[in-house]
Amino acid sequence: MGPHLNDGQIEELFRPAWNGNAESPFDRGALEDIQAHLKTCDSCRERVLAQQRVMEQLALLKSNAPVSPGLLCPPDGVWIEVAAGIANPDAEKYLSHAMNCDHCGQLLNQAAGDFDEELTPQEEAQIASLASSTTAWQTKVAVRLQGIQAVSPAGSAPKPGWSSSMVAFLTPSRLTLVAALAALILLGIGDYRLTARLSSQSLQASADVNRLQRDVDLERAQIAELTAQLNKPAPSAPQPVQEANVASLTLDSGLSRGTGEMKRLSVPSGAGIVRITLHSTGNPDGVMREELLTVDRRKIWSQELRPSDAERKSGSLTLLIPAYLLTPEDYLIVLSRELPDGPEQVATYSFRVPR
Amino acid sequence: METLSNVSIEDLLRRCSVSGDIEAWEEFVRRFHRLIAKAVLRTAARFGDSSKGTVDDLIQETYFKFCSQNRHILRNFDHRHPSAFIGYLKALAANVVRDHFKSAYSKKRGANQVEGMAEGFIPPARKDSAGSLESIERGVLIGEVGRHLALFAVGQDRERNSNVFWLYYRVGLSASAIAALPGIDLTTKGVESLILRMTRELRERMTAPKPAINVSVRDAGKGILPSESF
Repeated sequence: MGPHLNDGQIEELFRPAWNGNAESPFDRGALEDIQAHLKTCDSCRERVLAQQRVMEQLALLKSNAPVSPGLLCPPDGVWIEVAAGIANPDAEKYLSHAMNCDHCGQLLNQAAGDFDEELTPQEEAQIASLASSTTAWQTKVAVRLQGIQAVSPAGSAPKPGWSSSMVAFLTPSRLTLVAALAALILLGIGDYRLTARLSSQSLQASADVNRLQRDVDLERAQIAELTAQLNKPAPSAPQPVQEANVASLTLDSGLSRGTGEMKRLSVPSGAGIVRITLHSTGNPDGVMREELLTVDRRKIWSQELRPSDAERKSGSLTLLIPAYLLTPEDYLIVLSRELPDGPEQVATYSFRVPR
Repeated sequence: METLSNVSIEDLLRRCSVSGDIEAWEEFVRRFHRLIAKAVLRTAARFGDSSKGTVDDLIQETYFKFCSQNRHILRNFDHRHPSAFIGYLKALAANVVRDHFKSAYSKKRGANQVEGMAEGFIPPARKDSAGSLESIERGVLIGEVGRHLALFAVGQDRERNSNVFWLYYRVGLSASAIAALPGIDLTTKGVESLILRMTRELRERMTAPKPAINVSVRDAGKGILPSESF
């Protein structure tokens, strides 16, 4: 049976495929001896099997399941730049994220695969068969690229006799005419540029005014709706009649992940107002700002208010939001405190309005 | 004498940017064609259309990006390391393809439209989705490997070495892909050698016999007897 296998011999059995070309200290005969020994020695076989199990476990570290992006995941395009090796001050931060996030890890893996140096024979054949791989195509593109940027090359030598024929052509009267024409053209160009610039500024200004107008209309609608709600006479009828028009939801701070955890708000048809109570707001004091955002950070609604005494004591805030704003979607509420040097974010809440 | 085929990338870009030098552009296309074609072909294949016509069009579009904004890229590229432009070229080609297909899908499906989903629809969970037994076991394994790694990945390169290990086993990158990443500062051979060493160390640690709890029943005194195992 011979002596037990040493570390080097066992190591040889786990030589990874990509390291197969590296110089091996063992010849073919020695490797056959290792295999033969394993057949007869329980102790060595156990040792190798245990290590084999670890290698199988390491293979399970990679996730192949599709994973949804989280709120902290950077934009997908980042992974192309990271995989291409483009220096970026945040590259190390992104790499650390990818190592712990299966969604981004898979994107990084894809991007790295796209940039892998070695071509498969099939890829070689595909590239060779492209029209763009021919010299004719490449020359044509080179001419076009050069043509795009070539702007009247300076210092090009005039043709022989060009200056003398020009001098003969330019008599004083013709010179005057040419100068007048040139002045007119220059004035025209200047005027055209000015008009184009003013036109562009005007379009931009119109777009800004329209956007502001839309914001103002939205705010007005919200104010009108809330005012109408507040000015309603105290109900003589039982409370549920009023409550039927109000959808309520209580939220705790923190972002939910996955579809199962997110709180749901069902807005019944006919509901005019949605009342959302925010818990764990810390100590709401001073002017608090609430912003309702979609998960892609599009602002839907915002308000600033001073919490009541009761709210300050309970550490919670109640928002009244027009129900028509809450179409089926996922939302975030960002709560911040107005400080002299700018707003300070206090808490974030998330919920879903299902269809 | 210097010919265009051995001029540096920096000089080649300069020539392409400042003059209508067709020879420089021919050299540019000749030199980078394979690189661009490879990135375009693979990215387009991932989007499901690597037909010759599409790939040729996207390769051409990538070249024309260099002339946009008055050849801004060529004139202002920061050659902070020798392969900086190569990396930039790969990313540019991949982004051209990505933008093309995103725009094509957006037109096909209608921009800003979302498909409806029936109320109460619960997608079937995969075997390896979050919360499944496989996923929990994997989480435990990641924790165990991490603890071993923390014990033997030490020294000033501790963080870099640990990153290489996770990028190889968890993200699934090849040694050459890891070597190309910013901040790794190792050659492909260096990465391979590091992974070999760390894997060997980890195998030995994970298969080492656990120290036995040597407490006899008599020594245990009063109270709960130590359990042999769970």
